[in-house]
Amino acid sequence: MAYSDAVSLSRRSFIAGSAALAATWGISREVMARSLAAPLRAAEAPSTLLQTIRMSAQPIRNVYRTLVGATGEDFIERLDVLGRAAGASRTTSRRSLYYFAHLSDIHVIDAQTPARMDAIQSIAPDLFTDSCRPQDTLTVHVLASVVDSVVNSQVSSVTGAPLASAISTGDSADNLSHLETRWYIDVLDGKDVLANSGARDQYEGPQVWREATYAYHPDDPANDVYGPRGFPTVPGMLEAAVSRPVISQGLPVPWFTVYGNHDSTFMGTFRPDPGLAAWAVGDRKAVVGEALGVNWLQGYVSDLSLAQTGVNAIRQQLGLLPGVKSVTPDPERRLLERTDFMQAHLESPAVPGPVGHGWTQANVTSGQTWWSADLTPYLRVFGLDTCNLSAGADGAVPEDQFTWLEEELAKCQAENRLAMVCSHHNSLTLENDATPAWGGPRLVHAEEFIAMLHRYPVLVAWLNGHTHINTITPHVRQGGGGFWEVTTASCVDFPQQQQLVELVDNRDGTMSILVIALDHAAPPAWTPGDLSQVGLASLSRELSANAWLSKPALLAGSPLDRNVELLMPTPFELSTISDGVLEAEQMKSRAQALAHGGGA
Amino acid sequence: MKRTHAALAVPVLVLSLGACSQIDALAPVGGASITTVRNATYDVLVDEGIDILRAPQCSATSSGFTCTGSTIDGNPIVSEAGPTTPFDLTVRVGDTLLFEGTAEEILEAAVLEAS
Repeated sequence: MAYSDAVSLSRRSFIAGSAALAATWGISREVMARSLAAPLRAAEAPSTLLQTIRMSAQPIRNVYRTLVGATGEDFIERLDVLGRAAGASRTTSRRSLYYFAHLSDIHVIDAQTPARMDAIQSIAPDLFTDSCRPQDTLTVHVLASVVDSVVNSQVSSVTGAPLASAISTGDSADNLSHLETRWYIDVLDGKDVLANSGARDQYEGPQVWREATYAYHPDDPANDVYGPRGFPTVPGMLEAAVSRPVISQGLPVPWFTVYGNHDSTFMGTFRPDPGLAAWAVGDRKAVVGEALGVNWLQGYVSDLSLAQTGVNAIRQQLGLLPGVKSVTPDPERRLLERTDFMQAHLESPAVPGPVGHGWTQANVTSGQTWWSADLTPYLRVFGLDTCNLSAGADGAVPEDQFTWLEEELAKCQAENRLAMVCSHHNSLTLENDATPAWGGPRLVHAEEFIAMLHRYPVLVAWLNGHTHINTITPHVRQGGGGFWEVTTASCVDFPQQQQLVELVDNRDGTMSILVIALDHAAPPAWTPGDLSQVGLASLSRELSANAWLSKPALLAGSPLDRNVELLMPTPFELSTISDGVLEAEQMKSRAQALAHGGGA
Repeated sequence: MKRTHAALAVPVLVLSLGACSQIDALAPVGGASITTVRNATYDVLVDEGIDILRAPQCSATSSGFTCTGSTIDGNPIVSEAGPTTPFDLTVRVGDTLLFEGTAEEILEAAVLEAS
């Protein structure tokens, strides 16, 4: 399939295209034409190519370390899929095919909701390391800082190509919450968010309850498990987090997303039930683990017993549950039903768009939770739902989805159309075999899934998340070639990094996927006492670096997982994608950036 | 008494899920151990300036983990680690032993600023 007859855009095509884009974005024709006529120049924007963030060599208190700026990391060539040394001329001859941001595991948290089972940390800390983090109240601030860093990266630092989109691979909300889902969508769309629920301007939860010694108490950590490790005293942190709106400039590009296990199940692990839904909007929150053990978990597991459910409901109404505290109820904390998550994405503005962010009204109507989209005429992306609704954090590919994807990839192969697959789970975690007692579709695991992807050489990348670890995995096909799996870290755990990704045609029979680890824009070092929006994002990263339960040193990945050039043979002759088509696509992205206030 | 209740809670939950596949699924997110060994191996190779053709791929064995890959000039890369934390790790390129110690100490050092 040829994508254009023209080698590059003619003057007439440029003028017509520029005028159309000026009309679309409400910008004068002259300004648009002048901007689009400027040659692409590689950006010198802040990135981990220039500066990284490391932990201080020495702890400042006990084992607590601050963060510091450090030297940048240059690209490392990954040759696993290519199977030979790379040609030296590629760096001067290559052209950009598509430049985008890869987000994942945003984990926006409503830290005060009764549905957040913080107290489980005291009884199963290794099983639920994410049930109560010291930085739980600051996730919206971090996400706004991620948006800032994406805005700062609107021009490729390698080719000068404009950023075209952002793709998020799930776990956007943390706990199936309407409010968390709304907050994350609004921040990405550029709306301000007050990251608070329940009582106005006041934090209610374990971080101020003295009995909750498993939680970090920023006002006075002396008596919790964080104090002896040297965590700082930060008076006013919680009030600042919940009482001041978080200002977001919004992503400057269309963004897409998929389901993660935290968008699908309670705590990313359990199927929700009516008892949990009532608990979420109620006025009782567990403060100690024993309360969960005696009440919530027993109620959960006995959900088939009407008698027990009734007893629990009566005890709750009478306030007899031990180990719980009163909190201000908030109906906005309601848990989402299965299709509510997709519906929330349809309640999103046209800019940055697209409305639905991958899903359409047809998805909501049919309940089909996966989608495809043409990012350009020559690149199609598939958004999968690999979550298991029965039980467990890990996932699998249901057979109906597997069959659909294979059919779609076969079409791409026949049309010489490049393809990328996005899912929440990665190749290490597609092994969940939990099925409900009444059955369900066969669950396809990693080995079979990868074997299928190998049958379609146009599939060049599999983007995912879930483990919160920067990870690059080659999948080498027998007989040569293959594809790259690109797993990004999270916004909630250290190093709070996301990724910039660019597909480039090296014009020598190879192509590369350039991946850059993206720090959020807040400064590496937190200034003590800085409770501004950016200061709180910076503090969040520092706290996450010291949150030992999440194994922060593992999550950063190795240098082979961060700033890398992933080489591979081209799946077809890429010159069939003309320069004219690429220029036309880049004009659209540059116009979009101009409208957002950038100058790509 | 309270501790007894707490200790019972998770097993009660697990047993009440009723299906073996669901019990099996209630495990921490997969892959942490093998990724610890993998990442430490990669950190060693990068620190030593090894030119890698195929980065070691790791698998679980009866005695722990083994990772194998190759350098651009054809030498084999092999790392081996025990089954439990802290992971005792050796990394070799050809006949040369590059590292012997624990995977965790490598990872901890890799995130620190240069001292």
